[in-house]
Amino acid sequence: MLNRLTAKAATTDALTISGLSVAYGDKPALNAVDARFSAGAMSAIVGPNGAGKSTLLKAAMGMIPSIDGTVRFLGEPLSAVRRRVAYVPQRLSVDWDFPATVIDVVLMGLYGRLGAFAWIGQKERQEALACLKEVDLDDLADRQIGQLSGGQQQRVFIARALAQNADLLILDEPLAGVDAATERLIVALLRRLAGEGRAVIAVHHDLSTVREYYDDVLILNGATIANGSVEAAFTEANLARAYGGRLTAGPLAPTGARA
Amino acid sequence: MALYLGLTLVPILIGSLAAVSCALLGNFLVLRRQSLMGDAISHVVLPGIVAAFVLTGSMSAIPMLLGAAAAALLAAAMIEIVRVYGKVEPGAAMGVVFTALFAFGIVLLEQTDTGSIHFDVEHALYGNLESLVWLAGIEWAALIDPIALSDIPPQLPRLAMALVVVVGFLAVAWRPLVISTFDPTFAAAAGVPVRLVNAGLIILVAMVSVTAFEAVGAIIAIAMLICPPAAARMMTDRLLPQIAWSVAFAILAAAGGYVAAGAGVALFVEGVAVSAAGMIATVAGVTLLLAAAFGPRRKGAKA
Amino acid sequence: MDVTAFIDALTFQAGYNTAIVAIGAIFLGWAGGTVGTFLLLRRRSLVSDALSHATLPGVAIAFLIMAAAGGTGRYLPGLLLGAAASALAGLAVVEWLTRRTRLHADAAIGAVLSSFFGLGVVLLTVIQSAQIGQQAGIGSFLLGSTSGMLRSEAITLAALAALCALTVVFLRRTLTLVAFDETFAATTGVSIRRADLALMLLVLAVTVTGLRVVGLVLVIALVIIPPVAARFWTERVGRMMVISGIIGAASGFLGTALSASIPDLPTGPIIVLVAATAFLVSMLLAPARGVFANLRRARRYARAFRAGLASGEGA
Repeated sequence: MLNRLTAKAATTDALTISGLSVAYGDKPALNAVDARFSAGAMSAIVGPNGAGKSTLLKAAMGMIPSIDGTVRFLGEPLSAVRRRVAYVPQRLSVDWDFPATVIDVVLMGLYGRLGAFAWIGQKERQEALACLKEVDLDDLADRQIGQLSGGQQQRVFIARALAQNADLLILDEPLAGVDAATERLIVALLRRLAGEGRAVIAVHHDLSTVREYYDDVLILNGATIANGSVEAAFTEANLARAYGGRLTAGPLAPTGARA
Repeated sequence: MALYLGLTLVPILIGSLAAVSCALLGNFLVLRRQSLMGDAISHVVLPGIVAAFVLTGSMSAIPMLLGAAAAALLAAAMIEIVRVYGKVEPGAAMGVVFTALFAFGIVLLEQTDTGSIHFDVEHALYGNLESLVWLAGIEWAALIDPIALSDIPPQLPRLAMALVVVVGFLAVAWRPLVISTFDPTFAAAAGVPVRLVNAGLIILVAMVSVTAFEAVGAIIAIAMLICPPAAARMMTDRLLPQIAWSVAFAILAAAGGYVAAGAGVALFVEGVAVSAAGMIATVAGVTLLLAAAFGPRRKGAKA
Repeated sequence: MDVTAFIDALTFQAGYNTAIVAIGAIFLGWAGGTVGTFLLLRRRSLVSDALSHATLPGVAIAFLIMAAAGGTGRYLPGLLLGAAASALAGLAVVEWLTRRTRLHADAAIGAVLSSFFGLGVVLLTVIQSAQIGQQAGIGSFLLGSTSGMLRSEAITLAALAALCALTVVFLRRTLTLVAFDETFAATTGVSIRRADLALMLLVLAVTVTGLRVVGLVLVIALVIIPPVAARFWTERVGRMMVISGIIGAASGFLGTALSASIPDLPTGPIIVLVAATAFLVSMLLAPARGVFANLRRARRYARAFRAGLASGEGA
């Protein structure tokens, strides 16, 4: 596996971050972070609270200013390939009491392709319904989004990303606060997307499932601690460096459940 | 019946046009939790207008509009600067900026030769809708009489134009506006011009505030930016029906308030006047209270 | 500007009335700054906007009642009582809307301030056109006015303001606890509801007291601007409260002096502009949290970083 990655890295990096640094005033948030994420792989970004995981994604996407470094999406600056990149914010970053139905939100995913002024017709609705079917929500298409459970809301966000039909998916904690069934569904879906040759990058919290779900990992704590295949990088030594002494041995032990 | 046309229908129409323009935009302010931006902007319209008068020496519509729009944008930028660079909580940032600018406007007004301007602060606050009658319009025939038509209060076509601009903006910018209102982070990532949309919304709020301000007073603008959309939230979970409800509530408040003010006159001694603008704002508030007490969707997803 | 008049005003030599007004404004500014500190820390600054606008119907109703009872309708304590009662009703509606419906605080505040104000305007126009009582001066509640203020009125206002400020000083530990950590405060047995209610009543008292001088549109500046300015100078609540009180008092003092020495300069707006100037200076120049200091630190850090000096530092 390691060999496959190194062999492909030069040509198929979906996201390359070099020397990215972010500071809030004179307080460093990210210090010269280097990371590469491959197409066709599912990658986790892990690290303790305050390690700068969301900051890294937002700085890479240009939503917060960085003081140094370069970022390449599919080998290009973001502005050149924006339509091929889908970003899924944290679920709790929006007001779910917003007057919109499930399908309204999914249709937002078509914005990049259709542009600002397009008319949404039957064809687009069918497309959005197909995306909802993938996350098993097609029968709730006309439900108000506030009436959904947390897991269902996260699935709506995933369906919106599917509608973007992107080559690179970036997800900020897609499994936070979802039920077990939703977690299985989302992971299976994301793995399938990676299997189609797309790149999936997700901020992930539960260290015990990293081996099971992901191919590659970036361990972050203000700076890059380790980046590479799960086998090579997700080691007890690296995690100890990132988390300090705050971790028990439990989640680090190799699990038999490896997918 | 004919008398009705010019003396009652025209002011009601003017009030409704102002109310509907405000309510349409207000839907988005309420959803963005920026309702008080409407409040702040209608306050800074005053210094904008006074500054425009000081600079150009004229009280005509164009410099007033430009002055108000510039003041609104300036205020929005200042609020943003105070919030981001000063790390001040948004509500407080707004409070600092709009009170300071309003105070500046009053001082400027007092220091300028106000004798030539026919407006004072009270007029600015609650307008004089009652005076916007169409005296020539006492016959239905006046509707096709060009001489009589030229006598229509100029506020009527001005507010109608403002409404057209608002509807046009909503129609053209609908999707970017909705997406950036619901999920600004996603919108920015998907390439929606979020800043442009925000600025457009602020400019339009300033524009309807100033046209409404000049015709019916700032108080209607503030009430209509907030009360009808807030009441509409209690009625439905869908955006388009919500907007339709808000328009209905806005017209109800404008017409109901104007009629109630007229009825109020009859109730009291002869010669007593009741501010129509004040009454319209009151009716808008009562409508919201009723909707909040009985509306089918008053609770929403909030437990 | 008349410099001698300004100096006279600053040294309380500009006549009895100016001196009285100045003393009232100093106390008012102190109270506003002190109370506002906790309002800002509790992130509720703009509730004061709803409160101040909601006073208008109460003022008008109190005027009507007093006039109907045969008085002039202008008795200040009566008007203030009416103002407080209707502001309390406004506050109750804001609370009800945010607790019981899907609306958020901003919409509830905006709805209350505009519709209560509208009702107040309705009542005011009735009073004005029916020529009830001696209505001269009732309009001054909109934008405030210090001309023709009676000695007894100024003393009432100063005493009220001082009382508010002292109450805050007395309650500061509880208010700090609630503002800083709601959950922790609750576990220590502090009733958050009661602390919030106390804070709101104090804001209401300051607002009502300030109405006559600054007017209902601008009185909220007294509780919003000084604490925001003070926040730039310190990271500690106690100091912030003191600095904010000083900024408020100084604004009241300088404002009345300026307005006494320049013709056609209304007192309320000038007090607000002086406070806003203090805010601007604080925001730009304060060494602790000021913008220039922050930018300088950030730029120095970024430069050092690029020069590789910081490359060894972790987060």
